[in-house]
Amino acid sequence: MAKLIIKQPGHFIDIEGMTPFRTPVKVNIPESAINKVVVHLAKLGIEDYDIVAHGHFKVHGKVVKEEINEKQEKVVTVDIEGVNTRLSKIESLLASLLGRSPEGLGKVESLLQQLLTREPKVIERVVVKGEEVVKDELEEPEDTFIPDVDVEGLKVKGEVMFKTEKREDISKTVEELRKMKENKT
Amino acid sequence: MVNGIEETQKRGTVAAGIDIGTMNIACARSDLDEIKMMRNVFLPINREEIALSELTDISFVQSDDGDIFIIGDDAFRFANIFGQKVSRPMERGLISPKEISAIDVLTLMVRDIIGDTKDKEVYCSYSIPAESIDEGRSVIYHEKVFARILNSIGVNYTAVNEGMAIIYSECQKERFSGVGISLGAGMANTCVAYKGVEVLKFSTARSGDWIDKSVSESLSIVQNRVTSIKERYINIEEGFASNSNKKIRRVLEAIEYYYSALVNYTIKRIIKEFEERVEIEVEEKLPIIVSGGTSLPKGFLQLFQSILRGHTLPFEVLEVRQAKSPLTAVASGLLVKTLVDVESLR
Repeated sequence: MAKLIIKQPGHFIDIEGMTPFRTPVKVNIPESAINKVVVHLAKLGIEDYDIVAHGHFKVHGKVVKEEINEKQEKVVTVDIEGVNTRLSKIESLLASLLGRSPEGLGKVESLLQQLLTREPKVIERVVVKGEEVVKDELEEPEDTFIPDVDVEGLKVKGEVMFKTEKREDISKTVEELRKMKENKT
Repeated sequence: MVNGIEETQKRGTVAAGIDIGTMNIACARSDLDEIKMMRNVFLPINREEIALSELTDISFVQSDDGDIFIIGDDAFRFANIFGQKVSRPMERGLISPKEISAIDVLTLMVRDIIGDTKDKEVYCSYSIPAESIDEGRSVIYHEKVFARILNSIGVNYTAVNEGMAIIYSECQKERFSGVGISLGAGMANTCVAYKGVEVLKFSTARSGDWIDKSVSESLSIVQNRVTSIKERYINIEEGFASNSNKKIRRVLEAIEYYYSALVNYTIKRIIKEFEERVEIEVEEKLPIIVSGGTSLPKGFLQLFQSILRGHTLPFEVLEVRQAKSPLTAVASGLLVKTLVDVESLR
């Protein structure tokens, strides 16, 4: 999959075989469709866009950016919290040794053995060189993609006719729901 | 005990619920006895084709540049006169990306249907669909566009799942436990709730418009014509055979077939989603409430009950019933929620 990024607002892009969308947009496109997309954008006169994909190749003269995978590296760190937990367990076990009978010592010894010899847990993260990126975080859609409302120059004329239906008395329903929510908190 | 709604109004506060659907917009307010509805369509017309004097009894939007958009039910009537297709700000349950001018016109329609907000603190819940399980479109864009619209009007707003709104409106005696299914034009929204908490929610792209489109494709007739026949003649209880006109009978037969397919599909999805996503044991029997314009035809409820008997659900069903008012149940439920929220702000 490649990613098409168009920042300029106000375009409506309708390419055969793809769901139509408006700009600004960040949308996934199949790599097999990159050619078609570039041609379509050229027809619309849209030149300011980026396509981010695996590999590095030219399509109709437009250089496609490589995906940022090469800029990523795997960073391995020791789980410090896990180590601290183990140390405190060892501490409490040692403290209990002082009051133990010879028969009980064998079990404690065995537990200590396990804690001292277990390999520490490691945490693997993928970071982008120069900045930390936490994986699996949901990307919130940017507010720039939500069009502004502009009704400055618009006026409603004439009386707007509505169909109406009598509203039922909902006071008991409101009361029941309110009580239920209060009981939960 | 002081009535909570009266108390809210005394403080100059108004609670509202606004259901923005593919076909209709409905608004319920705490200070009004009636729920208002209008068609969620508009018709841009050419200034050269019509004089303003011809629009005296029509509601329309005019821009400073002179562009004219007829709104609501009038848009449908004029569309026939001008031989045009109405513009629908929403498509298959979500705000349409095609209608660039729609958002501004829709803002004015929403503002008008909410009504007077001058010198009032208005709190509003608005309906949003759940994520679709059979189509890739996200509802986030839709949710944020309407947040922006309501913000521009100057009301305080909260998004509420459409299916859950039906539970608020219809399931008081079951202590807000049940399955709410809103069968609108663009989408079917389902929500399973237990004691006022959403347990499962999802939407599917098969609903009223899907029936029309499927019949249109099967019989090679224009979709608008299918919609028109459906709205005028469909009677599932009596059956298509009761219609004396052969051509209409043919269309009605197809409509009934796709109605059965729609109900079957929706029930199967409920079973599948419940089994895959719900981990809690629901010991109580749950009512199933059907609502929305697509559930209006006579005999729909019996059809639903009949198809349901052929399936085994992962919970016990108390009963299947229709919302008291299928076109306004969502707006009513949203108003209930808003009133509870407003009271909790005290």
